Amino acid sequence: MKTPPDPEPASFLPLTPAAFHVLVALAGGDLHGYAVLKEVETRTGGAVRLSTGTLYGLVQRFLEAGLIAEAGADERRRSYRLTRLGRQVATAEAERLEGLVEAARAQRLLPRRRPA
Amino acid sequence: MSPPSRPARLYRALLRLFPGEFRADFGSEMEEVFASERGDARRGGRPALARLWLRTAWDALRVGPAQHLALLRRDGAYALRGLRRRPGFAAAVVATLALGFGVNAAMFGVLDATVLAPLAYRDAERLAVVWERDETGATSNTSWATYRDLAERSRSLASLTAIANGWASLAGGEAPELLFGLRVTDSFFDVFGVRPLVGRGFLPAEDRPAGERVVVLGHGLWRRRFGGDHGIVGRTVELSGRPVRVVGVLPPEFATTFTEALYNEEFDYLVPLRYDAATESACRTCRHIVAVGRLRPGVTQAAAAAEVETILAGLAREHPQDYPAADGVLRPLREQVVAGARPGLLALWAAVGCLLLIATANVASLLLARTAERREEMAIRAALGAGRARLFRQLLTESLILAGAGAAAGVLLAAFVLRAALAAVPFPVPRLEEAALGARVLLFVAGASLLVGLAVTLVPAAHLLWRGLPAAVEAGERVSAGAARQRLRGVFVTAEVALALVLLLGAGLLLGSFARVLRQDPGFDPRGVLAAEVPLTTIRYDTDAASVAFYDQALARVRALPGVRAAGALSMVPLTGELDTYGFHVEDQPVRNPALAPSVVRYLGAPGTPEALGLRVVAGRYFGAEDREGALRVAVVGEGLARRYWPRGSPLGARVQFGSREDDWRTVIGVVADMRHDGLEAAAPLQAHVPYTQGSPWRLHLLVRAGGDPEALAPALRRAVRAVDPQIPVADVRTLEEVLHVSLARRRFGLLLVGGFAALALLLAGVGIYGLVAYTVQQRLRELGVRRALGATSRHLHALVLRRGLGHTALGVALGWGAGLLLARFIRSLLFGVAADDPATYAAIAAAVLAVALLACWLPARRAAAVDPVVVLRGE
Repeated sequence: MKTPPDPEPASFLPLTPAAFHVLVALAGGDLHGYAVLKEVETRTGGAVRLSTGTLYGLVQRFLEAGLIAEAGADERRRSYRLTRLGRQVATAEAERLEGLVEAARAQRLLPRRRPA
Repeated sequence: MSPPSRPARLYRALLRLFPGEFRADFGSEMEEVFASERGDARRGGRPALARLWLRTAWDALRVGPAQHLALLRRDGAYALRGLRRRPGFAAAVVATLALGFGVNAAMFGVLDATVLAPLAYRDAERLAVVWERDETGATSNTSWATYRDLAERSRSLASLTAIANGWASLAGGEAPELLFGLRVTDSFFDVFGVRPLVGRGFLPAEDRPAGERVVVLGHGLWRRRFGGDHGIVGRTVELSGRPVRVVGVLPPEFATTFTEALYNEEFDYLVPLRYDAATESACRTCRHIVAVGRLRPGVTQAAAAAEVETILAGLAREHPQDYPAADGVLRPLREQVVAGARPGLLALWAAVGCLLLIATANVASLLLARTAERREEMAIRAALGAGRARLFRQLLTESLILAGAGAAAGVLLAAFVLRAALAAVPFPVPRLEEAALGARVLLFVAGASLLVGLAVTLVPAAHLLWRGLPAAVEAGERVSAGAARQRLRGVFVTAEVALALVLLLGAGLLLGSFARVLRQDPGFDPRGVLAAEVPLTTIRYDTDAASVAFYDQALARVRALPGVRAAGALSMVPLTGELDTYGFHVEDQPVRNPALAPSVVRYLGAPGTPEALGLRVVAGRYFGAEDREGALRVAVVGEGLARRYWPRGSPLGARVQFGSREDDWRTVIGVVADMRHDGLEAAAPLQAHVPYTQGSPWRLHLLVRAGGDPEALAPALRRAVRAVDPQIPVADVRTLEEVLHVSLARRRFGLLLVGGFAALALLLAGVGIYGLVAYTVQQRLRELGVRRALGATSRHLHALVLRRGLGHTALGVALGWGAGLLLARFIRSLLFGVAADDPATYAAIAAAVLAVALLACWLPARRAAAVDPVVVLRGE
């Protein structure tokens, strides 16, 4: 069986918030499942709490689509890392969101950014 | 490891919501993560723990089923991709299944409408019909007196109606029309639960001998002859020359199913029975009434039947001279309607079921061949960690997609088949016109396609996953698994051949029967004869003299028509189902009990009938102009009757009587050939003729032998009758060849259907054999090439391939023979003049199957024989 060519990162967009959070959490380094949950919870100040079902549903999909890969395992748990494609997808989603935010700024829904 | 804690067990139970494969991948990890989460939440106390559980459970409820769905979608997409790569394979499977499902859907539609569905009367399951039953178990109509007693004594029947049939002519329009009607009691409308569309039903006062003459029009007649005019109610129409007031019109949805099944004809109108209990025909033995009752709510059919039996047995005790019957039977109305059609329909359903089995075997064989190509793919996926359950699910999804597509295509096919078939049925089947592809048919097909999908997955999957897979990675596997697979395909092909052979045997035996029926001599020559029914329905002909005078004149005018070689008449046309029988008495051979006199079919005949009909006069003479009222009363007997009563002597001059009326002795003046009155398959009944000029004719069929085309005489014949009396209808103008044709319609149509199904079965089996052998050749090309290189002749290679295909066929034929012999008793009642194990048929069918198998093997064998060793060996 031939492996199909890498898919376009844009073809995965838009991501659900949960999916985006998981990718962002892994962008900081390899994590195992529980660490991903904690990372997302801390990062959002407790606003987003993923449950095991949602988390591993995403893990399964991301593994299959090649957005993440297994980074290693001890006898109890595996840790995961973001692949190149996964990073591209996360970046693309971030850019998409940024575009939306810019549009909101242009309509003055948000204060203008201070020049750097 | 310590046993899991209660929360851990609970969580594990929650994980059951996810697909097994998902659980295998992530289950233990999820348990681990959840355990950590629980550890965190415990610090927040009970409320935090409860929140965690709630959140997790809700999440699992959402994500688990979604995972299942995603998996199904993925399997489906994967299967579709695979099938798109093999369009020929997919098309072959779908077409084969479409054929199987198509005929089954159509047949189930017919069965559903005619046998399974309730009758279209209000609360139809509470309707029942009552028959009298004699000591032989034969059932008959009942009499007015019995009907009255039953209505009075029964507790389980809420209402009861008496039905008798009748005819009337309706003047107006181009020509008077002969109508068929029912004479019913005023309770008819209650019993059947029908409310007239316009007007009302009958009043008790109208159902009396002196009551006003009223009529309720059937919806069809109302639309046809009165333009659907609501104002017709209250007006007077002329039926058979008598003024009758229209009081109502029946609604279109009132189904005539029961009476149509009873009389083979849809009724045009209803009139009150107006029974006069004082007349002779009200006697207990005058059984011309059909009694239909409506059960009281809550009374079962069985309870009502038991009561009716008791009541009739009681009547038989009170009037022993009137009832040979031991009792009576009450039968659900639906049972009465469907009983006749059921055996034939069930036999046909068995045939199409057989066809579906063959199609299924064919598809299983195709899928099995495909597993060879998929072995590598499956091995790789297994190596990548896909479990057997996962792979089985994949295979099942693919089969179900194929079965679903086949079912959908089959339903489309059935829609066409059904329309064509309904239009083609040449005889009335009650409720056949209601057959359609309704929800129940679709449900049936959906269920069948699920079963077929599962069935065709099991064998290839078992083969691939539980047998082929571990071996697949070993180098030496190829031959052994391949051989086992081919053996399995051989089993399917053998089964197909056996099933097809059984169907073909049925068709062959029916064909043989039909050929023998056609060779039966009807006793007359139907070629070139036109028949026309001329009933004297108007009150002008209320004396025998008037009736006789009418027919005299009509016959004289018809004889004078150009193109008429001979003209006669009979009161019944043979082979049409009409029946008029009398007890037969011979003056010097008296019977002790007149009720035991043999029953004889008695025709009223006319001078010229033998010439018109081609009826052979064996001895003496037929009727002439001299046999009139006042002259010597005469009769002519059939050959069978002559043989039975005068085995050595001649019946000429003997005195005979029809019925037990005293002193109507007739002298036998001739003997004629017997006619097959009840159909070509039934022996000719005992029969005799008396001249209409010495009887009470009211419904003669004129019979005209034409010099040329008999149908061309029809207009002139109608004109001739109209010239005598324009009020008299001429009905049922048709040739005797048509009568003969119609009398064979059921047998011909059944043969056509079974023959068609058998041909399809043979085709499928042939394709199955071809597929197997062609595949074998394909797989063994290298071996064949080597053999060729080693000096095998092309004839040798031919034989090698043929042996393989024909071996399975021969085994299938042998099995089919065995099955045929076992099933023979089910078909025996449908055969005529052919034994159910007729050796000639068995041999011929086997030869036909072998010929088809030979053809199916020949094509791939040619390829094998033409194999070029150099090309094949280089290609490896």
